[in-house]
Amino acid sequence: MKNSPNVVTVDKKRHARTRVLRNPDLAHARELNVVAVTLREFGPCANNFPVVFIKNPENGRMRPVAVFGFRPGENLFYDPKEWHCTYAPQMLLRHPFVIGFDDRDPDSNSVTTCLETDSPWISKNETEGDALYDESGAETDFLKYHMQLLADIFNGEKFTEQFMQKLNEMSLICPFEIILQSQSGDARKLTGLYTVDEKKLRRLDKEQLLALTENDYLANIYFMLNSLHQFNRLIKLRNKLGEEFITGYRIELKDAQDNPPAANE
Amino acid sequence: MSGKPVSRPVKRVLIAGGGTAGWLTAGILASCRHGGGPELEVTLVESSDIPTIGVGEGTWPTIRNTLRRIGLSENEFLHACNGTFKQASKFQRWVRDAADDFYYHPFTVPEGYGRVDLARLWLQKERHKSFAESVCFQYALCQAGLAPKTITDVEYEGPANYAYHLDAGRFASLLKEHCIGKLGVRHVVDTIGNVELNGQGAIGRLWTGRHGALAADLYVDCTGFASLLLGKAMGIGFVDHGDKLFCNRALAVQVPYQDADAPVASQTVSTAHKAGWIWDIGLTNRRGIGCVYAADYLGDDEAEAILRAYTGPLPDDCAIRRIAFRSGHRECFWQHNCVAIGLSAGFLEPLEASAILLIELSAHMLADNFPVDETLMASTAHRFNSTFLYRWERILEFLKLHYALSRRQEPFWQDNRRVENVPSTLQEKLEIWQYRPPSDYDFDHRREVFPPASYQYVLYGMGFGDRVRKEYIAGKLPGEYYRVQERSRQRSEQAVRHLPPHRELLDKVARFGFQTI
Repeated sequence: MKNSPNVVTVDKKRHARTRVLRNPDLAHARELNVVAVTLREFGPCANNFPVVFIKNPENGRMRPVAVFGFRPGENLFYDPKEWHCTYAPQMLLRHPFVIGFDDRDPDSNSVTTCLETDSPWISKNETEGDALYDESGAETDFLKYHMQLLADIFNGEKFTEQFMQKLNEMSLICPFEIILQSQSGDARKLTGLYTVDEKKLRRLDKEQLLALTENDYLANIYFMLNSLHQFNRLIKLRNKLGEEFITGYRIELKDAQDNPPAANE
Repeated sequence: MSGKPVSRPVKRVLIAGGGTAGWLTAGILASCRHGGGPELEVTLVESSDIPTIGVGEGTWPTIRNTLRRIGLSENEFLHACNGTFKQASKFQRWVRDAADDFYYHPFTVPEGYGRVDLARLWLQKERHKSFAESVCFQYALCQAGLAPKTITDVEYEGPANYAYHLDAGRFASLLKEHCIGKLGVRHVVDTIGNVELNGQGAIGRLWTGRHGALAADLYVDCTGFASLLLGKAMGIGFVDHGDKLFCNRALAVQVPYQDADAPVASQTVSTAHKAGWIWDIGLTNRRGIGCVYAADYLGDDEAEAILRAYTGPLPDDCAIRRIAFRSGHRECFWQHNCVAIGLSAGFLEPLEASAILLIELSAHMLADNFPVDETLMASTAHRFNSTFLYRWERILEFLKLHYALSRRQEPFWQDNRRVENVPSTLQEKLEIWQYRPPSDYDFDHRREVFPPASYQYVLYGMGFGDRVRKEYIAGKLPGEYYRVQERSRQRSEQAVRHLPPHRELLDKVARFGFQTI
């Protein structure tokens, strides 16, 4: 398996003099309206953002994300001085580092710390920004911090996949839509969202519920469910922009079997 | 029959013959109970010596509900049968035998169908575009070789209406495995010898080579062209429609792709030749190509040459399968306690892939109207016969339409258009359609195999617009027509942006599968 062309493995020979610029306001995420989050982040995320499931368009698989805005390109939390939130998901902090395949060994499938070479935060000279390797070729604290971050994300993804699998096995996921009501009378629908089916959750028997307390699944399920209230926060932030005034929203849970078969010819 | 039948439960069904007809019927009957229907005991007896027909790779969108109903997963089905997505039939060279002569009959009805008849607007204002292109976004998908759904869509659902191309042999095997393993169908491998009739002319029992006599309350004849039960044993005659559909031969071949990444067509392609037509169906691993022709107009050698001219050079191990058939059907399909489903009921050339559709319709009707008591047998049979005689007549008429509208000049084509070879019901409709588009008023049944939209696609695809009397379709149309037309155009643009190439989706399905929610 190969990396995308702009992803290269961090290596002390290649990157002996490479430096990465500081990015305190996470400006690269200025126009990101969703970001992938892992299970262990649900708690702090849910205090700030709605956490929902969406499908990866590449493979159709569902994964959890934090929602920053109602439409592509809209990040309502971003502010150059300070984001309007108390937690930054790890997937934002890692930039421009990324998990990729080790391209130093073409036969290997192992993953390691890589760099997105087209990122504007890679310093164009050898003086500005933080170095990855010091004079003696040893990893700097800066690099070590990011390597640890990526390792956390990697492990977090594994736990998250197991969590998703458990939810799928127990058929606990259901689709939902958000209907935004605006002052002008228009209603707009956001679709393609999924969450835990609370009705089904309440009908689980004691044994099933007990099984969910393992690995803190149950707690995280409730963090997710509660985080849906954060759409209120998104609306507040949105209304501050002064474009249109959203007066409220409604969540409509859909039955997983809600789609009628398409009319045959 | 003497006196009224005695009331007694009808539960045991014996299906004679495997293949697509036998196993699909077995699956539909055995899964009845899961939908609140009767609990039937289904046995299927098939011979290990008699081969199945070996072709039959096109389906209709009804197949999705059928597979779902019997409990098969779309992922499993696609994987087992080298399945691909079929969105339309594309007809090439049917009108003028020119390279730019083609039209589509897509599975999605025209935009606004049911509320607005876009055909009227097309006839007035949009003749510069082909009909399907103008009224249906699926045209753009087919032309661009795109899929009808994405990997994020769930099983059996998608934005564009679709069916499948499948490997017939593998399909029967998959159904067999599912029926035996998951649906409790009893499987007997044996050859049927004598079919014993009782005093009333109903089937008493079937004698087999090694299992002695097999008896049931209801028999389903899925023995193919041989029609061992209904045709041979019970003597129900065959109504030959060879005077309307002339083709009676097919040469079938399986052709590999150039490489594993070769694009897969999103539709069945039918290309006309001097005395028939060629089908071209793309599966994941190979194409199925066949030359259908009329022996009265074309010799076997010339037919093979035409096939090879289409396929190009074939690998040495490519065997050409030769099939002789008659276009027609049994005089009735259900006699006493025996109902024929599949080729045993009849066959019409595969121009619109109606064979598997007819199996589905028959099996569903049998399952949904199962004569659970002997006293229901006669009336059920009578209603089944009435419905299916109507269906076969409509399919025949629809297939004939393709021939009636051609302007090709070879003898086969000219003879096809002669008045004595066109059913009078069709002639009458063609008269009326010069004055207005096909509509629901032209068809009696609540559920037609080919709704008016299908006739519109073929009619206007084949240039019938030229024969329409313009002064009668000139009335000013309400604004809503224009809005619907514009929506059709927008949907075409959006569809092409959002849907992936067919091959790409097939690869993803193989790797990831569709989700269930």
